Amino acid sequence: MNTNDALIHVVDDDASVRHACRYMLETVGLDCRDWPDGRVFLEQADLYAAGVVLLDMRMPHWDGRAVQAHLGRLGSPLSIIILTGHADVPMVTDAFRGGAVDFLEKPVLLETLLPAIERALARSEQACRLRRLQGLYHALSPRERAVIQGVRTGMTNREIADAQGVSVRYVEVQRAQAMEKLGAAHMADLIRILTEIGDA
Amino acid sequence: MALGLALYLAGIPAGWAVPAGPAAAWRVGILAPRGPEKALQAWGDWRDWLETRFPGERFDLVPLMPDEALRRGALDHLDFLLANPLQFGALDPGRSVRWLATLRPSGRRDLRFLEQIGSAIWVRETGPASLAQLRGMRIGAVDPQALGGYLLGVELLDRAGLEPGQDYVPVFSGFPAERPLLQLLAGHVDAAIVPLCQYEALREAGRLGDVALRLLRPEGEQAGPDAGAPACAASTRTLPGWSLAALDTVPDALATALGRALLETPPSADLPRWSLPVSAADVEQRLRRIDYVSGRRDFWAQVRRLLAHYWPWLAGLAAFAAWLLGNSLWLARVARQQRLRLRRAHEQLHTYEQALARADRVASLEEMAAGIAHEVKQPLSAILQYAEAMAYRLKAETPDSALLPVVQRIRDEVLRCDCAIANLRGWAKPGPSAPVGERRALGALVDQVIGMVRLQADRLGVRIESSVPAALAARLVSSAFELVLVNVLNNAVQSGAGLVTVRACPSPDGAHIEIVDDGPGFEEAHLRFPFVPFRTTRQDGLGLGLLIAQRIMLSLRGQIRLDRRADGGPGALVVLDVPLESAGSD
Repeated sequence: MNTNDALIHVVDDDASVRHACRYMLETVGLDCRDWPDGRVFLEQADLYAAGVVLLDMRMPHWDGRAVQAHLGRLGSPLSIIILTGHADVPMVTDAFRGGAVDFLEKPVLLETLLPAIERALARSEQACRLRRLQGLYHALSPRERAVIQGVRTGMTNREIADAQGVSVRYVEVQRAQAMEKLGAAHMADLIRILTEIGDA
Repeated sequence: MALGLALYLAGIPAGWAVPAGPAAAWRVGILAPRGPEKALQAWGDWRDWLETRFPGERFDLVPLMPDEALRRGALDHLDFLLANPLQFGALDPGRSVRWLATLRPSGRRDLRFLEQIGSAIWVRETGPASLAQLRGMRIGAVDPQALGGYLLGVELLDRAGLEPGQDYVPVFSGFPAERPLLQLLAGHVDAAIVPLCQYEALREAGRLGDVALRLLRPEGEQAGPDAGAPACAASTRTLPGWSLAALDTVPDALATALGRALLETPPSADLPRWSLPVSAADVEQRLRRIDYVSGRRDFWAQVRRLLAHYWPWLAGLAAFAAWLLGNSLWLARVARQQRLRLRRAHEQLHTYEQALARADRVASLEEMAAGIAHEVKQPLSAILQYAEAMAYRLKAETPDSALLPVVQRIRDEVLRCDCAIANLRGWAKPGPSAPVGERRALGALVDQVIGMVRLQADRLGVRIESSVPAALAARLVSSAFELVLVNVLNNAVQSGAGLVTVRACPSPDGAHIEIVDDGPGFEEAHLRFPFVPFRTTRQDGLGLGLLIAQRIMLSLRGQIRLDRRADGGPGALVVLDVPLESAGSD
């Protein structure tokens, strides 16, 4: 599995469960870190990198629900897979409403867990990318943003220049700068990026 | 004899002569049913003979009409009595009596009425042909106390099944005894009961004219010769005739002399003939029967009289009895209702008690089951993940390793464990959702479970046998049902039984499984509250096994029942009923 720098965070208060899980995931080639409880994880882990949190629900101090809520508040791109000994309906609905990717009951088979992790990773990477693009977009000057918004709605450079009362050349310069900052190689790329950001 | 009497008379003349005196006569009472004249006429000769035979003695004949004789005091002044010995009881002289001699047939027409006693029942030629046909008719008779003129006839009718007053109406015409026949001739009655020879006497006197009468007799019974062949037509058997009795005023010597004299051959053929006094035993027996027949009527008459006299009291008494009866019935009803109410209340209390006991402990059980589930799931989770990692590595590095299936088995066992816990959670928290089961042969399932407890059973020396029809299959959550079987079998094995038998048979809506052991069996309290948590007889027991079993059975829509062995021996019986299409099939 191509995981790049993606990390799997195993958060469980039970040391042997933590170890077993990490051992299993490392066996299949995933990069793992384990955390004994929710607070330590939130304090020490890189919450803005791509990754998956395997989160136990029943823990002392910060339980799974609190950790999930905190990550949501932070806007972390980490994907959450809830792993619990016993699930009931309210717990499951809460988890998905809080943005969990999956909800699995312990003990969980590798064949069940791996696809879930893959899905979660893909989503996390996507979230990471989006987060980066959003950062780049917000770093644009107001002029640059205005120009590319015009481009997005399908206006020509002339129309944008006319609309904003500037020269066509000025529009062309702003547009090139914005594309460079956003990392868009060409026009179609820019439109795709803008759509992603707009959807988010 | 005459000498003896003379000696006696000479010796103590005053002993018996004084009260009467030489001039005083012995008074001989003679019953005269045919009238005093006829009596004096018939017995005059005999009186003369007596005075001749006993010179110096005088005998006066005192004819007595029978009804007259019955009056109290009628016999007070008599010294002798010539009468029917059977009627003598009714006459009741109140004095001691010595019977001297009994008349026997002499051929004299005027004595024939006395020489034999019996009844003749006469009807007109055109009248009833048998005694039984007299039912409902008027029957003439002489007198209620007359022997030949009524009582013997009544006895006869009684034997024919007729009762006086009920089945026929007796009409008494009184003495002389021929009157009933005259009544019959006149058409006032349908039949006549008369003493013997009355008919013949009337016929001879020409008083019957040319009217033809017929004698009724019991069929198939001959008028037997009790006292010789009857001189006249008789319906009944004839009884010995009249007897002469000496009353207590007659000295023994005279009585004895007289008795002897009577037995001598009379000098004249016209004189009555005598025999030794006849024993009255047979006759008395008949008389008693007659008394019974007529006494029965008397009894009812008595009852009617008492009723008429005391009816207000009797009515009051009856009303009181009715009130008592009604009162007690009402009380009984009230008591019954009260009892039913009490029983209902008791049953409700019992149910409530059971429910309370369950609710009390089930609540803590649910909490506990959740805790257990979590605690067990953690290590299970770790085991599974190590096993998964191991399997992955083996597959990658040495795909044909012999260890791979073993690891696979570890994985499967963990999953089974997990399944059991899930089911445990499922029923510990009662909910509508029942897990869907797979269809399995019951026999294989039972064998598998027996395999699980075999180790322990072998250690304790317990034999487990099973007989399950091969065709029997059920759609069950098998892990759940296994748990039930394991629980029940464990109980049996650990109870101290030597042999545990699992039997199964099809039942109308599923399978019926019985687990029987020969251990100590269930206690009474256990049978009354079978499924109560935390009650155990074992040191290390949790007391949850049966409760768990029951919850699972309910979730499978089956039933579990605890009982004693059906054959009465010691040991426990657990009955499991599972529907063949179990949970989730609908």
